[in-house]
This record gives sequence, C-alpha cells and structure tokens, in this order.
Amino acid sequence: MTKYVIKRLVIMIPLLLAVGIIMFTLMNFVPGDPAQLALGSGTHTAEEIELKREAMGLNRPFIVRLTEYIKNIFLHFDFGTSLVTGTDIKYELVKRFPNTFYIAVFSILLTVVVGLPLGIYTAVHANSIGDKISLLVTLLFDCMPSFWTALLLVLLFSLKLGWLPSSGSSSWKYFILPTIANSLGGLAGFTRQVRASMLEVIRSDYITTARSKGLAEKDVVYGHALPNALIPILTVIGMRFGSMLGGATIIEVVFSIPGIGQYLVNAINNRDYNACTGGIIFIAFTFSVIMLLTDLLYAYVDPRIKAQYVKSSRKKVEKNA
Amino acid sequence: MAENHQKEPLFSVRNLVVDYHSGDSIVHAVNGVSFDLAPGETLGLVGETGAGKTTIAKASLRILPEYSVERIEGEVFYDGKDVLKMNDHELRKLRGEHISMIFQDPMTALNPVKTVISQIAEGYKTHHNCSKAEANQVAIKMLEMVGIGADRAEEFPHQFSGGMKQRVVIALALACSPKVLIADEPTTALDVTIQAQVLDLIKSLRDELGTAMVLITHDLGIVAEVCDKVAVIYAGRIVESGTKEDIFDHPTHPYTKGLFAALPDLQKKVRRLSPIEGLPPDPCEERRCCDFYDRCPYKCGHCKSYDHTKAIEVSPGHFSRCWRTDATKEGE
Repeated sequence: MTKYVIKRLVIMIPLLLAVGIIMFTLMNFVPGDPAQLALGSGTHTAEEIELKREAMGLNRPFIVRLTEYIKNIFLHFDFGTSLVTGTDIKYELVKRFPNTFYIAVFSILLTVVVGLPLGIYTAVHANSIGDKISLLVTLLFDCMPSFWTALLLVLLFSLKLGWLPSSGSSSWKYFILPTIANSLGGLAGFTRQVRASMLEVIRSDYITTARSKGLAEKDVVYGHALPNALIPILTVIGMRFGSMLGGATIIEVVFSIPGIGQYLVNAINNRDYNACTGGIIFIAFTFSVIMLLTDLLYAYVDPRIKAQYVKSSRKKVEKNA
Repeated sequence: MAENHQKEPLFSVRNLVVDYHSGDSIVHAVNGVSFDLAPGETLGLVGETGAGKTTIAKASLRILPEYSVERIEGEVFYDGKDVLKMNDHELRKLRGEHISMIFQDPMTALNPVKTVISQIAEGYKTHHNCSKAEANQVAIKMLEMVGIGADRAEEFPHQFSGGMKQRVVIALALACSPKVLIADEPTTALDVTIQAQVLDLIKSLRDELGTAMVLITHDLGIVAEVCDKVAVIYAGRIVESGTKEDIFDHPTHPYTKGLFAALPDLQKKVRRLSPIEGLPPDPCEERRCCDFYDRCPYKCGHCKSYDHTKAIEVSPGHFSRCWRTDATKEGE
C-alpha cells in the first residue's frame, strides 16, 4: 500500500512538469502583450513598451524563459513574481488558498449531506412521487446558472432580510451564501449519481440474500447496499472536490472573495504568464492529491480493490528480489 | 390436493399466483401452485428453466423484486400463519430464523465488501439478540460444519472459489437452524464433482438438523437422491405430484414422461437424445386449455375442452393434470 502511494506521488512529478510546460507555452501564444497591459491604458510609445518588455525579461528567447521558469519551480520551489504587480506568486496562492478551500469543503459537505440521503431515498422509493419531486427540484437548481442563484440569494438574504453579508471573507458568515450558491447547481447531478448507483446495487442478488436473513430494511440499505454503491459516488465527490479546490471562479467573483479562481481570472486578463502558469500548476497538484486520496478511499470501501493495490506492489517486490 | 397427510404440514402453499409486468405485457409466472411440506420432509420442485420454480421460492419468503411484480395471490402458510399477509416485523422474524433460502448463484449471492463471517453472524445476531462475539462463534461453527476452516472466516467472498462460496451460502442459510429450507438450484452453478460434495453436505445437514426442505432443481438425478416427494412444474403449474416412487416409477403426465424419456439410458447405445419437441408456451398469454397441449404427443380433441386447472388423483397422493391417465400408461 505504501509502495502504491509512493508510486503515485512519483508519477505526479512528470505530470506537473508537463502541465507547467504546456501552460507556459500556451500562455506565450495568447494574443496580447503583458508589457502593454502592465503599463496600463493610455497611449505609450513603442520605445516605452520595448523598455518595459526588456525590464520584464520578455525579450529573451522562449526556450530560455521556459527552462528558467520550470527550473525555478521544480528545483527551488520558486513560483516567481507576478509580471504585473510584482508580488510573490507563491505567497499570493498560499494566502488565497484557505478561502477557496473553505468554499470547497463546505460545498462538498453540503452536497453530500443533502445529496446522499436524497439519492438513497429516491433509489429506495424509485418512481414514487417523492422521487419525481426531488428530480424536478434538483434539476431546477441545475438549470439555474450559479451566478444567478448567487444573486438571487444575495437579494433575499442580504438585501431583503439582512441576515448575511453579501461580499467579503472576514468570518464564517461570509461563506454561507457562496457555499449554498456553489453547491445547489451540482446537487442534481450528485443525487442522480447516488440514485443510479444505489438502484443498480439494490437489485443485486446479495441484497436479496440480506433480506432473506431477516435484516431490517435500514440495515439492508445502509449496511449492505450503500458500501457497494459508494465507489462511483466517491469518484464524483473526489472529482468535484478536486475541481472546486481550483477555485469556484464565478462564486468568488460574485461574492468578492479573494480565492484562487479570482486570482487566475485576473492573471489571465493581464497576460500575467508567471501567475497563470503557477496557479495552474498549483491546481494540478491539489487535484492530483485529491484523486490519490479518492483512490485510497476506494481501497477502504472495497476489499477487492485493496487486494489489487497490495498485489501490484507485491509483484514489484518480487521483481526486485 | 394431498389433504390426506399423516403428518400435519408445517409449510404449505395454496393456489399461489404470481404475475410480473414486463414492458406492456403481463407475465404469468406462477399459475395456482399448491403443495404441502411436513416437518423433516423433502420436496423436489422439478421443471425446466422459466417454469416458475425460483418465483415460487422467492414468493414464499416474499423477497420477489417489488418493482417487477404485478400481483401475488394465494396463501403461503407457515405454522398456521399466512406469510403473504404478515407485517414487516413478523416477516423479518420469519426470514432466516424459520424459513431460509439457499440461492442459485453463489457468485452473486454474497456481499463482496463484507467478510464471510460478518455475513453469517449478522443473521444470527438479528434473531438472537446476542453479542457480536457470540454470533461470530456461531458463524465459525457453521463455517466449520460446511468444511471451511476458522482461519478463513475473516476473508472476503472474492477470496473463495465457487464451491466454497456455495458452502458459505449454505452456512449462511442454516445459521439460525431454520425449520424450512428452500434450496434454489444449489448445485447448478457448480461443476459436477463439487455438485456431489455440496449435495452430500445439504443432505447430511438436513438429516442432522431435521430441516424440512424444498429442493428446486432441473436435475432428476438429484431428486432421486435427496427427495421424498416430487412436484413437476410446467409453465407455472404443478402438472404432476406425488412421492418420489410415484413419479419415477409411474410417470403419468405426458410432460413427466417426456422428461424421463429425454434422459439417456446408460444400458443402451443411444446416438441421439430424445428431447421434448417444441418450446414452453409464452408465459404472457392466457391459456384456455392444457399448457402442454402444443407439445403433447397424446393430444386429442377432448384436451381442448378439458379443464386444465383440475388435477386427477391417479393413486392416493399421486396427482396428475392430464385426463388421459390411462392412455399414457398404454405407452409404457
């Protein structure tokens, strides 16, 4: 098992390297001149822009800039400074990460706490009135764009009722509306996923066996069916959590929360090559870590997968011996 | 049928009807099946695939898939109480403790994410209100009884072979020493050598625990070896029933005769098997006359008008649903 984890962590290095190279190259091809953007609006002479380019180090050959950038990140763990603001990118990311992290964690919690029981209920009572109402309501939320949901929530809870603040990030109260707005949209998909995978399991033979033993229905559903239905559910949770850690861009912008998503959007708008690539590498890293954790969770849920992990690392040992 | 029993029946099914819905059509899987089972007795339910054997078994425990059942009618009496009218609480008490079932396919009958010991202990614990350790001890005892060592108890189903899984399924079914055991083709998914082992195991456990048993199979050899009584099922109806001797020595219904004729005779040199020509009738159609009419070699005009729901007592305790009991005998 430890071997498996180490292997996965090692594989992450070439992955992040590739992400870094591709991102840096792509950013280089994006139309727009960072020097001109850095100088701000207004007319500047060609000479001024050229001077700025020289100062920003943009006149050196692409390969030189790329190798220097990658070397700094992977050997010195230095993400460089923003081309536009001159601030340290690593510092910015670390400072902003908690905001994004809170929104992601709360959103996932809310999705699971509401979606899991709802999905199980709709599977057990498939095609009932409750099932249809839940489908209708969750799909309704799914159809509403999150910025619109966010604005509706702000209208109701901040302006009309005055219960919750509409923007900022200074205490936990500020995260309530962003969390709700961020998770409502995904609830339909998640509930449907839980329902589908529970339905598949609940009709299998071992559920009939469990019933034939005389177990209570709740033991059959939660003790026998749910653990078997968890694999696809965990996958969805992992993927969603991973991508949320990359920043809930729209939500962060609407609620003016300084998070990773907002930072990236600003970086792209300013053609801030360094900030952009650094941010993407950071997101790729958190995503890979979450996916690794998800894969490890599989092993806890399903002994057959655990056996595979153990087997693959044992094979390695035998080869080495 | 079979009212004149010496022993009071422990388990009896009366006019059981089960319909499934499949798409727009209604599938008549079981059409008025009745049988009795005395304590310690073994009844063999024989019939080809799709005859409704498993449906009868599952209906007796009320574990049919609710989403596809259109209706269940009739009565299933256990100890004087109708299983089909029980509430959830009574039903849970009945399942596992009084009536339990061995499933057909051991590969899918066990939960892949739970250890075998927990799956066996769970049932015992539910019914005996005991500690987990106590239930585990019983589970280990059961596993040892079916020939699986205690050292393998903590393993998961995927670590067992097919034959061993079937043993686990048997241990699971017998954990609470049920009065009635329904064995649904317990050997079909196994290869022949393992079949013999599992069959011997079921037989010896039945004798040891004094369990009454309904053995569902399409293998006449197994019936000859294990059963006291036999009921032959065709298209969701019992076409012939009686003691093992009645059925094997004096088969009366043309279908039963066809079944025996299809068995190869080891004494003679046979180049081709002689199957029953044709296919079972479409279970979606209502039939007005004998189910076997289309395939029957003895059919005649009277068959069309004969009430196919009526059984004729050929000899005491031996019933057949064919009116031509004499005509078919001439063929012997």
